[in-house]
Amino acid sequence: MKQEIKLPEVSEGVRVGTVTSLLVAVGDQVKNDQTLLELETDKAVVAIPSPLAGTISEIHISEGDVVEIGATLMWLETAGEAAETKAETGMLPETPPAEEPLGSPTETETTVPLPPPPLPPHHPTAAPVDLTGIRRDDRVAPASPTVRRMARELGVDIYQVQGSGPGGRISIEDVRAFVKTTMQRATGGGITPSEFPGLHAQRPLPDFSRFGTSTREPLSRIRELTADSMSYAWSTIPMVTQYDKAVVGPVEEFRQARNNGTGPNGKLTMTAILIKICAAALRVFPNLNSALDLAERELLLHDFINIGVAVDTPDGLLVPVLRNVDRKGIEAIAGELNDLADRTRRRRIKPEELEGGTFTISNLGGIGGTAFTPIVYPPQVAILGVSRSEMQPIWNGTGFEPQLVLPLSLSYDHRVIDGAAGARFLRWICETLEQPLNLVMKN
Amino acid sequence: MNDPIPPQSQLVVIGAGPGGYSAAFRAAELGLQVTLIDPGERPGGVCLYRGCIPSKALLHVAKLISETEEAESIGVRSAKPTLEVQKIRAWKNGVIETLTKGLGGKADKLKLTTICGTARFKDNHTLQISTATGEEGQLVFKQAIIATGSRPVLLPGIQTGKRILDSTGALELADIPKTMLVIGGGYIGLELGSAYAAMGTRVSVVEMTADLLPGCDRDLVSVLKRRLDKNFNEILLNTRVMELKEQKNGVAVTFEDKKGKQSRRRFDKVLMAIGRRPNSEELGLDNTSIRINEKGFIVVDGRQRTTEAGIFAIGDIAGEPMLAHKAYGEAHVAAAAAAGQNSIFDPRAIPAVVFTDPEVAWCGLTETAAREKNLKVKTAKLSWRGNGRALTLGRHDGMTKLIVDAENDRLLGVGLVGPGAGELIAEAVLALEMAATGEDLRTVIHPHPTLSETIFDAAQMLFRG
Ligand SMILES: Cc1cc2nc3c(=O)[nH]c(=O)nc-3n(C[C@H](O)[C@H](O)[C@H](O)COP(=O)(O)OP(=O)(O)OC[C@H]3O[C@@H](n4cnc5c(N)ncnc54)[C@H](O)[C@@H]3O)c2cc1C
Repeated sequence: MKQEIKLPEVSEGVRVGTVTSLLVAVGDQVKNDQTLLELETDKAVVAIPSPLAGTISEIHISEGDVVEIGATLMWLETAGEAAETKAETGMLPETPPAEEPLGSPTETETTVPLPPPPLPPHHPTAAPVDLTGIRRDDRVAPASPTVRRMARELGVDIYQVQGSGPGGRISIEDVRAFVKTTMQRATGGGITPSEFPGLHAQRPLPDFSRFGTSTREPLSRIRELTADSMSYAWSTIPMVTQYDKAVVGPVEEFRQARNNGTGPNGKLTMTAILIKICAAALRVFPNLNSALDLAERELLLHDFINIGVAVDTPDGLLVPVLRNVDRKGIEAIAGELNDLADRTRRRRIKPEELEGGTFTISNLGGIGGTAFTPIVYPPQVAILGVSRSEMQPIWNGTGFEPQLVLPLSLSYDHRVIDGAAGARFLRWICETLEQPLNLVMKN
Repeated sequence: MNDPIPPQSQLVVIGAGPGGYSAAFRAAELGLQVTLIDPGERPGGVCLYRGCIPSKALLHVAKLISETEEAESIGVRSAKPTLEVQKIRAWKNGVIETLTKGLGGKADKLKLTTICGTARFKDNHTLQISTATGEEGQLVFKQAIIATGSRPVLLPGIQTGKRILDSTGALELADIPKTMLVIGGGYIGLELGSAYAAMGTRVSVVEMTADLLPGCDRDLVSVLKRRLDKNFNEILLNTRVMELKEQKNGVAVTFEDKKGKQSRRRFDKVLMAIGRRPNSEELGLDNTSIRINEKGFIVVDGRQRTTEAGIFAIGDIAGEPMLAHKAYGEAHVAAAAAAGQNSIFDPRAIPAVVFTDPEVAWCGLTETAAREKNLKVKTAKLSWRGNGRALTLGRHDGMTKLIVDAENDRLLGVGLVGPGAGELIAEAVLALEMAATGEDLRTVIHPHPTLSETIFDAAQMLFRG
């Protein structure tokens, strides 16, 4: 079939152009999109491609001619049958370009890889032969020299790295990400705890604007740290929570009687009493006052007992620590706790007063609730949650008796503490709340 | 270059051209004890003594002459320039001296052992050295870098003489002949032919193939050719030189055209610029396991290592393209590898520049190669006719061409022709090395009015709207 080829629109406002070079002759076989001629307009030199595949049968122009848009340039003989034409017009991909490298004049036969020459004898530690000069693709890896160098130094084959930049450009971050995922695959996803970025282990957020408006608020530093340490705890510590309750009527009676008449600083709280009881319990169950060192396969048993108390502040949760509480009386503990809690709420706490805890108490009794699962605060191994005390009917063997009951929850690291030990520890605390003499039975 | 032959050396570098001297300097900076051997009085090699530098000096003379002619057409008239050949020659040699002395000084500062002489391998750890003063000696080395470069190829059975020159002879500028035939339409022939033409010689160029500057895109060449057609007496394409006879008053040349028709002509001088051949024959490579290919180039891997342990090869001896800046690049790779570093010669682009008027420069993928490989590319070609800077320079011949990947807009190659193209190409090389896209090029602010804006404007053409 004979086809006329006309000069197409080349760019807006251009009416005519000069043929600067004619790249085909009568009898030439041309492919779809092959450049037929180059036209110089007052804006640019443009290549005029063939709209079809076929054989050039007539040419109506020559170099130097000024031609108008729409003028007949040449005639093309296309292949007879329609089906064939389609296959030939290049609509289907051609066979892939030869393996031969390209991209710069560097590829001559001399840069073809050789069998590696043996290493010089005085370089016994030289790295194994590296022939990264080989191009595996017909294109080069789109990375700057700095990025390629870094990849080389890390032993990364740059051709395997997926670039995230425009045109597939490979950045330093892409190389890093490649190393990271490769390592994770190699080590089964193992990551060192110290670099766990709790905050960042998150999937991208959905587009909430589809549902309504939201405002963004920066995270406070406390919130950031809490998020990090809580996600670390949650994802690395296998935790168990146990629940128990203690009859605290007599202790509560004592406490209220004592508080009648003392100033605010001398105020005795249930938390202060619990600190003392926990300190004693930790002496009896030393495994709960420990830290796990998996790398060394050892358990660190602390001789000191420092108990942290979760304090709710306007900016978030803080845990000031009362030191050596096993050596202090309840009165001293109460005074210290009141001062610490007060300063914490006013953000007058020193950083070192938030450090060194070996066990934590979180008392939500002032707010309410019947039970909750506190989260262990690593590297500690256990935490006591306290809910609100309540009058409950308690069976005394012959009938129900109204009693003031305090619900307690204990979460612990099951890698260190077994269920039985946890249950015994919590039971000991409950029994001691009911029978404080326990506190002095052993020392 | 006048130290005695030391008995041994950690690293010996054979040849002090751009490859050799920069490898020696780099290795010394990396802490190696280096011996550098070359027959020249000072480091420099072909590039400084009989290549890049003297040719560019003569082309500068050519430029001054053609600019005074151009000046006339825009209303600046001065007397027709007269040439003092002796003074031009002295100036050119002065440039060479300044540069080679600088290199000699650097060699001393880095405490290189420099030997004036030639070396040959006795075995894979020993060199036989003959110094310029006739001394013979042996040197045992731990590692070696071969950088012996290349030399001009002559037509079979022809020797250079007073009237038949190679590039080295032409650069000596013995005189300015009335007529000269340049055999070979490659860059060396065109550069030297242009220099002589500007100085007043009627230059004819004969080329066996169908066009000038093989390897370069035709559209770039055609811009250059338009001007060369004016400056040269004639350009004979598809024509072979069958015979050369040196006679008393000239050289008789027999040509044969495509159809087999022969003709005879006489020229005052003939310059042979038909190519260069690696200096690998006299090196005693047979005494090592170093391999050379069928063209005589030493075969190397990506670290410039030869097939012999501890011996590297760089520069012209290690393959195409035979260009000084390729030699520099390979020199740094080999020196670092010799110092135990993990280096590799893996450039994205090696620019090529032809210092004719107008200059032609290109790097990366050429359009011709893209077509041959059937790659899906987009090209933007911009004539310099609309560039303000070109016109204020009194010129309008020039073109900037960008070749990008049609799929992802990544820059794959750049071709330039026009005055100053050689300086402009550096931006393109950087862009290629940094894996820039057309979008990058059209976003970067280019100074106005400069020729570099043609890159910016051409990039704009890749986008609709
Ligand atoms: C006219 C002309 C113009 C050129 N213009 C340019 C240009 O504009 N840009 C560009 O990039 N390149 C240009 N070149 C090419 C450039 O000069 C070479 O690519 C470059 O010099 C190669 O450097 P090299 O170190 O490999 O070797 P060379 O510069 O060739 O140096 C090799 C040295 O080794 C010495 N040698 C040889 N055998 C021995 C031996 N057995 N023992 C000891 N020493 C030995 C030689 O005497 C020589 O000094 C030009 C070349 C010519 C001829």
